[in-house]
Parts: sequence; C-alpha cells; structure tokens
Amino acid sequence: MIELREVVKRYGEVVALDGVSLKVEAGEWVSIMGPSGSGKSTMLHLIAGLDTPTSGSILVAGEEVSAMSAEARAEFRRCRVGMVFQQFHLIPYLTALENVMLAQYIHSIPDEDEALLALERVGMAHRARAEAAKLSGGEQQRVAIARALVNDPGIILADEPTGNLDAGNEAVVLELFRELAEEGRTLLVVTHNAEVAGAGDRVVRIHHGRIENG
Amino acid sequence: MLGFALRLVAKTALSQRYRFAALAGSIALASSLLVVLAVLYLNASSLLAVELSGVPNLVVEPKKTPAGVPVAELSADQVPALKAREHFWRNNIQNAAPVLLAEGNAGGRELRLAGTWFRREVPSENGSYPFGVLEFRGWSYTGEPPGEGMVVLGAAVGIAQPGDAVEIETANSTRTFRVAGVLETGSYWDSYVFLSLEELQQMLGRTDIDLVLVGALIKPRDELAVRAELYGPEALSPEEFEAWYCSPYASAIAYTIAEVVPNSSVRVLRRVTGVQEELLRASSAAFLVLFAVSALVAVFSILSAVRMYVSAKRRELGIQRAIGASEARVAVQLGMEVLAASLLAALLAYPVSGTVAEAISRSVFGVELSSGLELLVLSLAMPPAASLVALFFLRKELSRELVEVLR
Amino acid sequence: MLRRLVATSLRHRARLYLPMVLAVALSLALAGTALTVGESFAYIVEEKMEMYGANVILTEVDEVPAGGVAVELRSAELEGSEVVVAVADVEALLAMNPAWLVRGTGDVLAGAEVAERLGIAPGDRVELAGDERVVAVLESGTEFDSYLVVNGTPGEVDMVLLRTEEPERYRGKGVVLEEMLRAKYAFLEGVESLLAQVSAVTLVTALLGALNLARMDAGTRRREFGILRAMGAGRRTLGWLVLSEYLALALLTGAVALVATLVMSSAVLQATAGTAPVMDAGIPLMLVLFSLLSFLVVGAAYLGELRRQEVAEELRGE
Repeated sequence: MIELREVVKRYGEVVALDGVSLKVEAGEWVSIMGPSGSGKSTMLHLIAGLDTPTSGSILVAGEEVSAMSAEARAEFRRCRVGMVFQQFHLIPYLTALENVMLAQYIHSIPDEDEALLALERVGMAHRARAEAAKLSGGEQQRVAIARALVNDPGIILADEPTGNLDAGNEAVVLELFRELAEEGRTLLVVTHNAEVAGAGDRVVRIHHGRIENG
Repeated sequence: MLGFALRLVAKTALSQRYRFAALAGSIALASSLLVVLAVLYLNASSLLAVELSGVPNLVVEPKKTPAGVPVAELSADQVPALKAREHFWRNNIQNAAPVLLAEGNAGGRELRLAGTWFRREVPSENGSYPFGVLEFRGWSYTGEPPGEGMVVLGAAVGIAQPGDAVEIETANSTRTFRVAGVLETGSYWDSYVFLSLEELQQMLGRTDIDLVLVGALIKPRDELAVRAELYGPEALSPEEFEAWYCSPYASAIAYTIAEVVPNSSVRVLRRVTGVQEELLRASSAAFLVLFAVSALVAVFSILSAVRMYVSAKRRELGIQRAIGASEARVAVQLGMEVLAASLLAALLAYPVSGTVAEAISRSVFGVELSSGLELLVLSLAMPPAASLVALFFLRKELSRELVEVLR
Repeated sequence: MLRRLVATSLRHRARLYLPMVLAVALSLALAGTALTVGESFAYIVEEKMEMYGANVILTEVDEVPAGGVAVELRSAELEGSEVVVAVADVEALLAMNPAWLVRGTGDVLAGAEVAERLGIAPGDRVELAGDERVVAVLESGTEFDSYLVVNGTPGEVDMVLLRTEEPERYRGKGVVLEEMLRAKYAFLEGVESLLAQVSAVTLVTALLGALNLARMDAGTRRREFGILRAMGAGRRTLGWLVLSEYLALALLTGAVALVATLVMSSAVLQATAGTAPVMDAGIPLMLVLFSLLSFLVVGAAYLGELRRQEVAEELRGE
C-alpha cells in the first residue's frame, strides 16, 4: 500500500531522512517511534505529499507521490488521505461542524448531515455548533479525526495525535483509531508514547534519519 | 458549494472583525488616495486654468471692409450668445464684457473712454452668470460698486479720487459723473475711463459696440493646434478638424465664437494665451509625475495591507492545503475574502475620497469639483481592482512550504 | 548587546523592512519633491512668463534703452487702401515676442486684421509704395495686427517695445503690461498648495502601509519576544530593542528620502522646465524629522501590538 524506497530528505546541511526504505501493507497499523529530530514527522509529511524528498521515491497504492506535481499531491491528500496533527489544526473561528464541512467542501460538496454523522462517530455531535477555539484539547482532536474521516480515506496519517492530550482523551483517540483499523484502513501513527505505539500492528523505530528495525 | 464558500467569507469577516476591518480600512484609505489623486489630476489642469483665466484672452471685433468699416454692427445683445446652448465652448467662457470706445476730455485733459458692463448677470443654460470688467479676477478693483452716473478710472488715469465728481465731455455732450473706484488691469486699459455702456452710448448717440473682451479657459496647444493656426482649420482633414474643434484650444474657441457671433473676427491675445499655455503645460507635466509616484505609494499600501492579511492567515491556509485544498482553491477563497473587504472598502472610499477631493479643491481653488461620476466609478472600481492586483503579486506567499506553516 | 541584537534583527528582517523603509521614504520624497518643485515653480513660472513678450511699450522716447526694439509708424498705400506701416527690426521684434505667430514667409508682415480686411493670404504678392512684395501674415493679438510690418531701421522712433525685469522704471513713460501678474501669483499659490496637500494625503497613506507592515512584523516575532520575556526581559527592554531598530530605520529612511527627493525633483523639473531644482535648506531637515516621527508612530503601534500578547501564548506559537 505504502512503500518508501531509499528516501533521502535534506534541509541544507541537515539530513532529516537518510535512505529510508519501508513497506506498509493495506489495512496495517504501523506506529513510528523515535526521539525528537529523528525524522519521523518528516517521513509522515513526505508520505502525505506535504513535502517532496531530496531523492528516492514514495509509492502509495502504486502511484509515485514523490513524482507528483503540487496540484496532484493536493488531490492525493484530499481523496486518499486523512490527516491528524498534534496541534489539531482546526480553523479556530469555525464551528466543529464547519471544520468538518470544510474538508467536504475541499473534497467535493459540503453535506451537513454527513458531517454530523462523522461528528457523531467521534462522540462530538452534541458540540457540533461550538466554535473550535472553545473546545477542549480532547474535543478538538476528536473533531480533527472526524474531519480526517469525513471523506472516507483509505489512509490515516497521524502526527503525535495524543501529544497534547491527557490520559482520558488519549484512550478515546486510541479507541477511535482501533475502530478505523478494524474497518480496514491503513494507519501510520507517529508517536513517542510507547502505549500508543503498542496499540498498532507493528512498531518502526527511527533514529538519526535511519530506520533501526525494518 | 458557493453557499459554503460565502459562509466561510462571512464567518471570517465576522469572527475576525479587527483583522478584516483593518484590511478593508487600509484598502479604503489607499484607494481613496488613488481616487483623490486621479480626480485631482483629471481636474487640476482645468482648475489651474481657472486661476490663470482671470484676464481677457480673446477679443471679438466686427469684421471689416477693406476700407476699415465694420461689415455689420456689433451689439451688446450678442454677448449672451457666448453662453448660449448653440455655442460649443460655452462652458469655457469665464467672462465677457462689451466695450464701446470713445475719446473725451475732462477739464481740458484728453481721455480715453470705454463704455462697458461693470457687472451684469448673463443668462446661461445653468442659471445666470456674472459678466463684466469687474468680474475679471486678474484685474483688481478698489472702490464702491459703480451705479448709475458713476465711472471707474483705470489705474493710470489719475484725474480724480474715488468719490470726486468729474465732468466728462464728448463730441456730442457733457455729463458729470462720480468716481466709484479704480480698476488696475496691468494693461492698456489702465489708461481708460470706464463708463456704463448705456450711458456712453447715450452720450455718443450710438447703439453698437466696438469689441467684446472675453476670458476663456483654454488647453495648451499641441501639434494639431499649431497646424490649425499656421495653415488654417480648413487645411485639416475632416477627422483632424473634428479633433481640433472639440478641444478647447484658444484658436478653436475663437473659431466657435465667430460661428455664434455673425460678422465677427476673433483675435487671440497671444501674449496672454502663450503664458497660460506654457504654465498649464509645465504644471500638468509636474502633476503627472507626482501623481505616478503617489499612485505607487497607494498601491504599495494596498499591497502591504493584503500581504499582512495573507500572512496572518498563513496557518489557516496551510491547514486547508494540508487537508487537500489545491492552491487555486485556496487562492479563490482568499480572493473572495479580499474582494469582500474591498467592496466594503469601496463603500468607504466613495465618501472619503469625495470629501477629501472636495476639501482640497475648495481650499486650493475655491471651487466645487464637478466630477461626481468619475468619483463614483473610480471609488467603486479602484479597491477591488487594486486588491486583486495585490493578491496577484502575493501569489508566491500562498505556495510557501506547507510543512513550515504547519510546524 | 543591544546594538548587536538590533544589527542582527535588521539584517534578518531586510525583506520586511525594505518595503517599509521604501514606502515611508517614497512618500517623504514625494512631499519633499512637491515642496521643492513648488519652490522651483516660481522660477519656472518666471521663465514661462518670457512667453508674454514685451512688457513695456514706451511712447515718449528720449533714447532707445538697451534691448528695446524701436518702431516707426507711418502710413502707406497697400493694394489701394491706406494702412499703417510699422518699420522695425523684424527679427528682434519676433524674438522678443515668442507668442506671436507668423503664417508663411515673405518680405513684409501683414497684421492679421489688415490681411483679413484686404483679403491677403500668406505668400500673396502685393504692391507697396510701388514695389512688389511677398506677404506673410502676422497674428500677434496686439495692435500690430492692424499694421503692415516692414523690416528696416526706423528714422523717427514712435515707440519702443521692451522686455525688462524692472518694468517699474518705465512707469509714466509708456504702458507697462503686467496683466498676468495677479493670475501668476494665484496660479503659483494654487500649484504649491495642491502639491502640499497631495503630499500630506500621501504621507498618511504611506504611514498606514508602514503600520500594517509593523503589525505584521510584530505578529511574526511573537515567539522571539516570548522567549526574551520568558527569560525575564521586561517590557522596557523589549521597548528599547524595538525603538533602537526603528531609530536606525528612521535614519536610513531619511537618507533614502533625501536622495529620492533630489532625483525626483530633478526629473520633474528637467521634464517640465529643463532646470535644476533649488532645494530649500529646511527640506532635508524636514525629511529626517518626519522620518523619525513616522517611525515613532509605527514603533508605538508595534509595541501596542506586542502588549496584547501573552507570554504563554507566544511560546505556544499559536
């Protein structure tokens, strides 16, 4: 499903990823662990097409993301991928519902009922009309997951999804991820929380831009 | 689809009132500057021409036979024709005064007499218009308003003081007048004694006049006007003639006056028009350059306002890009927001620029601007046009590294 | 340390500060140019007044003053009609009166009124006192339009045309023509005040642009200031940092504005009158003072923007 071949990413003198190769099967939940600055977020951003590798190639479902134009990568993100971030990245002045609808709007046509269903799924339907800025961290992350789900992507990419959450909310998010995995979606979760990492099928450790265990 | 896009715009405007208002306000002010400058620039020449037109620059005289006798008499009744609808350049006629010349004497001293209108309301299509020698703003009159039985002395006459009585004798009659005041013209007219036209006509037993002094707003000559003067308007092609006729060159105005005052010959006071033209040319060139620089400053201000807005929204735009929005989609959404702000700005710019342009025009020229339509069109068009141009220049900002924005 | 911080910050933010400096400098330069052009406009106007031609017509002549053109008037018969012939140095007469127009070329100049009355067109041959002459037509807009102007040395001087800087000297000896004087002053005043008002409005707009940029800058520096404040830097320290930066920017702006004023006024004056600008000594001073004032306002706005931010928020980078 996802394949990285000898991927190198340099920022000037700094080598963030140093020849990384990785294969993730469809429906697999892979956790990526490593200390700060090890290159795990960079890897996720490259897979999402938010950035391009200096060399090497990235294939998703047979398509080479790393060779796509910026526009094609944007299309790839809106059709194939759902993204979840540590800082949630909701638009603060829109309501929870509108944040979800924004993803639909970007994908195709906003549909309020469908967006409400997505919020219901993450247990946030009751807060649908609340402004994102007024939600707690856990609530914001649940809305962000609903936003990632609403277009029914096959791949979920999460960058430290529980990094800003307390234990209670962490459990809620993990439960949601479990459900997504059971539905057959491919999950790639960057974390340095062992408990979160352990919830996946496999843990990949990354250090100094290199994978320590294939 | 469009509904949601508009909802996003409305939401942005309402929830980020301060930022949105700052954008609209900045665009409004900078556009107002542009509009004010454009309106002033479009009008500066004619407004400055008014400052320069305070003296007669054309003289209407009767056409003469080879023996020097008028073909037909010129009459004061023909003066209103200059402001009549039939006259193509009626709006450029600032002042006109009929003059009847005579010789006379007072206490044995020879005098040049000029019978004229001191002040007379002449009907025009927009109400009446004050004509007369005391209405030439470049001439200076000191004294009381001259009435019946009163004369005005040219500055070089010096036979009496205001308030004195003078006995004036002409070939046919003698009459005593009171001196109302002194008129300083800086020209030949300083050596004349001005009487009311009707009173001098009575004394001389005449009904006609010798000439009409006209003050008109003119446009500097260009190559076409010079050709028309050198070879005559008949030598121009029909298109050139049309262009010449429809431009307020001194020669073109003289031509149209001759059309509405039959059997007249119109002389251009070239030393006056020459100076007027040179000054107008110099000032409009200076204004053009300054206008260009000011416009640059205004466009720059709009650019920086839009840039500030975009930069404040970078994170938000980054999120949209991260969840799959294309650059074009983000640009359209941003364009809609900036457009909304600039429409609001346009509503502000119209009254603001109108007030400022009017205030400047009033304080500098002491006249009202007559450019309502120009102002409206420019005020409404300038903000959206300028901000979209600004957005175009800022498109690079949109394609900044996504990862950096989301970090 | 402050100097080092300021220097580094200015270098780093060159891309942001450059437009800010340019905006304020450009508008200051516009104001400076407007004032300089306004000053120099008096000279331009004086120069353009040459177009007026002779400004003294002497009628009581003891001797012809230097630069004066003497004219003798006598009557003659032209094509069977009596005309007034003016004998003068025609070349000098035309040079003194640049606004006069001569149509065609010929040995004699028929005034426009004479030409119209007698039906003479440029290039026509006429008989004057027994000689055949080719006629050009003179449109002067003066009494000369009713004369036939013939080149020659006047025997008896009836009048002298003179263009002089001191027309007052000749008052009483003839006619002094200065009808454009009042219009000239009104015009000059109009130009100067228009230029001054346009520059005032421009200055406000430029200041606004700079304010926007400063606010944007404050937005991007939140984290930096947050760190400094977390380290214990007080508002006063940050204030000094910002003010020092802005002082440096103000001086730079003043210098740019001065150079731009010189360049722009030279360009405007060259284009309009072919003259070099005469800059009042007060203008450079004004430019620097206004520059300082502008950046003081911008700096104050900047500090205001920073004041609204909380340390924790800044560190979070939200």
